[in-house]
Amino acid sequence: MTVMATICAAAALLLVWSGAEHLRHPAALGRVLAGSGGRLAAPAARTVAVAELLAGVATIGSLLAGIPGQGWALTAQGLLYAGFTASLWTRYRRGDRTDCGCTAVASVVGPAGVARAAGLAVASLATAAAGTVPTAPAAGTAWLVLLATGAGVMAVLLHALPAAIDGLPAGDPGTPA
Amino acid sequence: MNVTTAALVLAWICLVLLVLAMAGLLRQIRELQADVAGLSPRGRRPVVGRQVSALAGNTRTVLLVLSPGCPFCQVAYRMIAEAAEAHPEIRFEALAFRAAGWDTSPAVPLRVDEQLFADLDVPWAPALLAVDPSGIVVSARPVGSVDALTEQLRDLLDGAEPLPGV
Repeated sequence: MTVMATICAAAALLLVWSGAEHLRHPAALGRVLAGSGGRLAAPAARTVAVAELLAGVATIGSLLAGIPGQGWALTAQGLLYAGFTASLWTRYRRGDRTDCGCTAVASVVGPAGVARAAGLAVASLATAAAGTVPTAPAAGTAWLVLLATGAGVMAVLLHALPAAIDGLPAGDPGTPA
Repeated sequence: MNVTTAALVLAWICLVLLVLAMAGLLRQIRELQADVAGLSPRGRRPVVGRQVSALAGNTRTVLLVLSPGCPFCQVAYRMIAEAAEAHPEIRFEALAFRAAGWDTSPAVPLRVDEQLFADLDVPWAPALLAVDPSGIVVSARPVGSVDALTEQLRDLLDGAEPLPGV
């Protein structure tokens, strides 16, 4: 369960990171949602961002601090990623090669983005279904260090992976830092 | 699973993610290189070594590249025509993308071919090219003066093969 817990923590960190980016710059996600939401794109982008933040913080809190509700947090996180997977897969099948709007690192809709969302959805839902994961206070310091560092490194890699594999959108050199 | 084993598994997962990212970046670099090669500005691609099948023939060809409006082109053409008349065993041709009323000679047929001119992508006019029988450009130099052209012609004629049967 340690490996799954670390992957779930990385997924949660990625959600918090993405949620914060979407709150600061809702335009990219807004453009994606504009396809179905029209004028509601900006409020919808902020709603998604808040949902990402809440699910991510709840999962991190339950895994690292032993806050109750781990199953619900992991399920909510898994469902969010499942929703992203469905959206990305639909756009990819449609031939959409614009910015996926996943994070501040612009990347086209592609297999890496779809695989990342699908993998994290499966990991979150499978961990939620498997039962309670041992949390930091009970599992010890070594476990906590492993979970924190492993999740951090993996979140950074997962954050950059779609842009590295799928590429940048045409005519978009990326968002300036 | 103890902490050490879990750390090892996680390290391998991170390593796989890194390898995937690196492979993706390398693929993008290769695509960019191919795009850049195809988008090189005019006259920046090396002329020597380029294969132009339209110039392939039985023997080496001395090709004078001309451009309308170039003040030295008529002089260069006249000198090439004199060399061609003196060396009937060598094939001479001139190329321009548009006719410009030059006084031409039967010894140096003038080929007006915009596509061939663009394919050759010679950055100078006039320029003197040597093209081998397979159509590969083996030398290309700008023609800047009468003395330079005389010297270039001497070099080219020394290395040229005669036309078959001549």
